[in-house]
Amino acid sequence: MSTINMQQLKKSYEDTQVIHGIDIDIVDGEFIVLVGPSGCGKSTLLRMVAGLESISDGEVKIDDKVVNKLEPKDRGIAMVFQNYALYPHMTVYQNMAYGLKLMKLPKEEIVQRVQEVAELLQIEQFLERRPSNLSGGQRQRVAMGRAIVRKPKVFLFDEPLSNLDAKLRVQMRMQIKTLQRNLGVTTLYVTHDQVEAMTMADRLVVLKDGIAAQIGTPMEIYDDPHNQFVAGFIGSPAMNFIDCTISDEVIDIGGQKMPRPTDVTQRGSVVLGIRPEHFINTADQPAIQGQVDMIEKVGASVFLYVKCDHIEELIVIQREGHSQVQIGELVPINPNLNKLYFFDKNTQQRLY
Amino acid sequence: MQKRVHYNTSYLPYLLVAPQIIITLVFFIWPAMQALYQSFLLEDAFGLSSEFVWFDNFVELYDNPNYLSSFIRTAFFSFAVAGLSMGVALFFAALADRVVKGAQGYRTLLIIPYAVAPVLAGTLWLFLFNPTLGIMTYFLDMIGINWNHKLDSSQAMGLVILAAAWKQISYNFLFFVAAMHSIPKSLIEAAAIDGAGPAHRFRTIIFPLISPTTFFLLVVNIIYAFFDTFGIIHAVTAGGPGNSTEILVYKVFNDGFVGLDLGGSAAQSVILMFIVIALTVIQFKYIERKVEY
Repeated sequence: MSTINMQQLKKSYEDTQVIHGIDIDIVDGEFIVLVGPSGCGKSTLLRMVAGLESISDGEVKIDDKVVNKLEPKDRGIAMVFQNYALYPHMTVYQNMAYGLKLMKLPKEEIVQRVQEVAELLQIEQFLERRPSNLSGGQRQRVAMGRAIVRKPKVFLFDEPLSNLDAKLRVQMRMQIKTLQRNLGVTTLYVTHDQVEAMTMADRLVVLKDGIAAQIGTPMEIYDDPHNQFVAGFIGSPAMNFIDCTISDEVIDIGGQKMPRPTDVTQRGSVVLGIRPEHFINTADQPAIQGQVDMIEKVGASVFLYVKCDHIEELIVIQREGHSQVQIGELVPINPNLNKLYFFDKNTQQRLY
Repeated sequence: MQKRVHYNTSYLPYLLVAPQIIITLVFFIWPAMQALYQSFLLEDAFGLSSEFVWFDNFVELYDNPNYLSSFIRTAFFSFAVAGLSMGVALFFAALADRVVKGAQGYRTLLIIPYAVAPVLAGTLWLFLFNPTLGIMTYFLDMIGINWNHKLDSSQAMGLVILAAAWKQISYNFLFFVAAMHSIPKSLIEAAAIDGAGPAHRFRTIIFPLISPTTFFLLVVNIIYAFFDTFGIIHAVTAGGPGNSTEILVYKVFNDGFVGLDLGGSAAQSVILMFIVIALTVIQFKYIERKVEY
């Protein structure tokens, strides 16, 4: 039963500031994912909550208690590291019992707790093995077990799945999510993988250069990105960004005209954003057209990379899996006019 | 298909390894053979002739209580030097591992003693502890300890141990720091989150993980104490008072070049050679085996 509150949290190394005042309020049992490109400060933020990095300014509260000056062990947290950080010279059992022994729990309780968690994670048969004799997925589960067994108030995950292969990653993603829901422990999870972020999070924090670019549920962020960075970062393949000019009648895209949705009030030179999945495949009255430059087939769908006159970037369009399109073919481009995003050219803030 | 560079000339490879082989032959193999041969000879009192006596020199050593006590003394000296220098080095390394600012300068300063020649290291300590002039003697006198290693054999032993250990601290320090650096930082952090304080972390995580290095250093330090401390002992005590600091390698010199018992001295050096061979074999066997956690 724990909440986490961050207020104007800042971090500087000597004269470079890496975290620029972050405010997040996390309610009990929530699964929060910190996501962003490398170097955005997401790991640093997590380590500040853990107590592994000092806090330059601002406050972190766990259960309404300021923990800025507390040692990591006194914060009631457990952390899973990217490289698992299992103690290589100890068996799985010793790894999991290490923290419990330091809590000075009676021996029977330690044995019982480790046994329970081992069963939960299906690692009972490995308890006497050393980490070097386990596979990546098994090590990952032991690392989680070591966190769970301490019954912490908060789980902290630092890119725990990035060392696993793709299939295992999807599996573990589900397991972690289910486990977290069953245990109901408030969780902070760091990843650079936006699919992981979307699928696991109750709420997402998209970080950029030490600033929280947007905080919200995955669908809120997908549907309603506040700026161009968030719009481009969430969604796969990424949103198309096209320079265009809006006049009273039409939207001018590299010389080709597209009708202006009536409720778009902006005028002038802006950046148009369209997600690849937001094109309509219809033969009638193409708004604009372009030539197919490259095709990516992923099975369920096909992504067309289309070159339009006077537009530098290729426009990515999603079609259903068996579309018969050839490279070099001219295709109509019909954006769903209800799903257009407009961004300011300079501030990159969302206009519409 | 094999990708290997083929030289047409057959002498080139030999030419390239020749310098190394010549140096080894001239400075190691040849003297060792000489010593081996010498150990079977008995010189007459005037050095005019020698007689081939087979293993007589070795038998004599075996029966000589002086030699045996020197053996025990050497063992004590080696373990004391290894223990002291490794203990201090480990302590420094643990501290240096936690230093963030100026770590480079701190480490450089700690490495300097390694560059000091053994005789100079011995002389340095000799001055500090000189019974009449030494500053340490003066301080010890203030707290009521009468220091005179020229008369007191256990003080003499203490002083050579101190001097020999001091010189080796740098070397051990370097290895310990490197070993500690190779431990992933996240392990220490995980232990910190698990609730272990610095001392407990050191005992339960760091120390077990650097144990291969510790074992390696133990062997290296014992070899050092056995063979490389001649200069220190020669400068500080010259084996005295009495024979109290006469370790094996010093006894080889003393019996051979001072006592002029060339055969006996050679026999001692042959025994030392076998000891160092044994230690080296142990060391290589252990290091080549992959250390398993």
